Amino acid sequence: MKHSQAAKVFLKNAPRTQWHDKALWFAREKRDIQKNQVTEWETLRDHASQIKEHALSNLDDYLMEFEQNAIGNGIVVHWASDAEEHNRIVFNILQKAGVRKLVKSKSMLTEECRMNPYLENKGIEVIESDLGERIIQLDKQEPSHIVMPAIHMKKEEIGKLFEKELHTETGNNDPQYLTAAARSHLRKHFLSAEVALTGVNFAIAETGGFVVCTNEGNADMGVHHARIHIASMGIEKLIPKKEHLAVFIRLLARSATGQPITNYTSHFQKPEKGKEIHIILVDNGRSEHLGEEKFWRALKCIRCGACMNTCPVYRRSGGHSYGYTIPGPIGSILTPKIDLKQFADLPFASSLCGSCSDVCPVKIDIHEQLYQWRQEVYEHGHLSWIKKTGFRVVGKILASPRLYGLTGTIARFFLIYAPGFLVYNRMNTWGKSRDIPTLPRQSFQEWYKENRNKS
Amino acid sequence: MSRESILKSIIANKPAKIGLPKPIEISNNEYRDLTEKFIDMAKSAGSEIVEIDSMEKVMEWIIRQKSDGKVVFDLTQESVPTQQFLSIHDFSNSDIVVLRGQMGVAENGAVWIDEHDMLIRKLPFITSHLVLVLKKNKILKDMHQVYNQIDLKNTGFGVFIAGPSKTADIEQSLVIGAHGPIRHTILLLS
Ligand code: SF4
Repeated sequence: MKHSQAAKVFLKNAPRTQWHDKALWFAREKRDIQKNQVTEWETLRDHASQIKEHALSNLDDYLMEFEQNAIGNGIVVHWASDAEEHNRIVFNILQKAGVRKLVKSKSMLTEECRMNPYLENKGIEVIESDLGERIIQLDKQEPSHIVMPAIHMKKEEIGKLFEKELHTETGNNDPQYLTAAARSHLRKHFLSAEVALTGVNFAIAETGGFVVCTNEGNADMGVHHARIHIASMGIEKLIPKKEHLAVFIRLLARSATGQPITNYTSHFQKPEKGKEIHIILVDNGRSEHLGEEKFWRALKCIRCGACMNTCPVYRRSGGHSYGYTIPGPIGSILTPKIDLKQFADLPFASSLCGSCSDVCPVKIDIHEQLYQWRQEVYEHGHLSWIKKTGFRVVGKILASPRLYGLTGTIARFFLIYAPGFLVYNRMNTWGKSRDIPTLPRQSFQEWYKENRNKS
Repeated sequence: MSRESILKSIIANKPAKIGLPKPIEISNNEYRDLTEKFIDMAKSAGSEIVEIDSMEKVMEWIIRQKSDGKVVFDLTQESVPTQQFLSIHDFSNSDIVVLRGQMGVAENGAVWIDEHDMLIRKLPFITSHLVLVLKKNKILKDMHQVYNQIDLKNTGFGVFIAGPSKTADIEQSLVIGAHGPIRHTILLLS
């Protein structure tokens, strides 16, 4: 389904859309409060951006440095060209260990690789341990946000779900109560975990270790109980040095949830005695993306979600409307690289207001990339005919001052005198939930001609 | 092999080399008093702060909390005897784990501990009440300063902990005690 159609479904329930919009804006406001307490915020963003650009422009060297140091630390390093290979590696580790259950914490990469269905098909039980992810998993949904996976759900719905799945009291929707129920439900899985999987927020070439950030402590609960820790990371997660962690950790939680730091910022360097750590370095299109002159900077993303929280389109259309694991502005510039035709409409799911680029902690030029992707979509002939015809006509008008003046006069005449159905018709989706402001009878040019000699 | 093909593809595609910025040594933020800032930030992350003036009083405080649960503590670095503890499945809800905190961070109220402070890695996460003993003079201003002091190469595992475990995954309502500790106390030792 196209983004605009999916959004239309989402928008049918107006109070709910408003609630969603406000919930996300709340996260944006919390971010602003934190950001304002750091005087050198902009310097940090500059540094973060430059460190990432440096790392990406030397990625082969840093990957090899990381690999060497990680192996020196006793970590097993795997390389996966694509999603399939990643999933196979995870399955092989499980099989070799003779384990049928995987306890995992949140990882957008495993969503991207569609790992859960792959493993479940092979008879592996996969337990999501982040509360939001667990809710989504129990309800057989997809996450709608990369940091707050269940942000689109109301507590009443979660209460009902838990009643069915975890046998909680009927009608008890208290978040405290529901969280406690999930806590005791998941604790059983933690205590019996033999293999646990986590994502990776940052991997450090210099030390051969990696960092995982959570608030719930679920990543640590899983891996410290398990015998085997599997960490899946996209190759773009690498940073050169330990000291760079300071820059990113200062930015990440403030941008994501408006906290000065996440509750747990865990640094894994070596396996605990008698245990194993495996790290899977996943490409899945990233190395090729690096060659896109206009678009490679999207790989700087640290997955904080700030661009979603601030985006007026995301807030009013919901994460599911994008049809991809990573929704919102960043999703709309990552997806066209994956499949330009399938995701041709996503670069248009934006008002190009630029708010995403303003909040992005690593200064990705998101709105400019959205604009560039629109050109690509056009050049490859994936534009819908309504947009194409519309753009062609508007292009002609804007190119000619005479046509522009004439169109203005005619438009003003029509908008003032024409009946509503001509303006608010099916062809003009803009007219659907918008009112046109009262128009002046004169254009600025006409007014200027009349008034320039007056005073 | 995938390793070679990934590296080859990166070399073929990577953009022109971009330099590293000059490292940031310390933040520009001005705090009137580091301890005061640390206490403020730790409290807003849900930590309880108890200011204590001697190691003996730390012991007294722990014994007072202990109720009927088992207390596990490892303050070996402070030359206090280490108590043996049972397997993890024996931990009940009244357990307290007391560990030494290495450094505190004023800008965010987090405390750094590493493997040397926790005997086994699950200890700070499995307990329902984590107590960290931190010397006031081990409070540093910000993450830049702290990372300069941390020696990652000499540890297997280290973690910044800021408050009790929490979640806001249900309608963004903050709930304390998601999976890890429900209570988090910092004993600030002068
Ligand atoms: S693009 Fe920037 S703002 Fe959006 S998730 Fe990535 S890092 Fe955060």
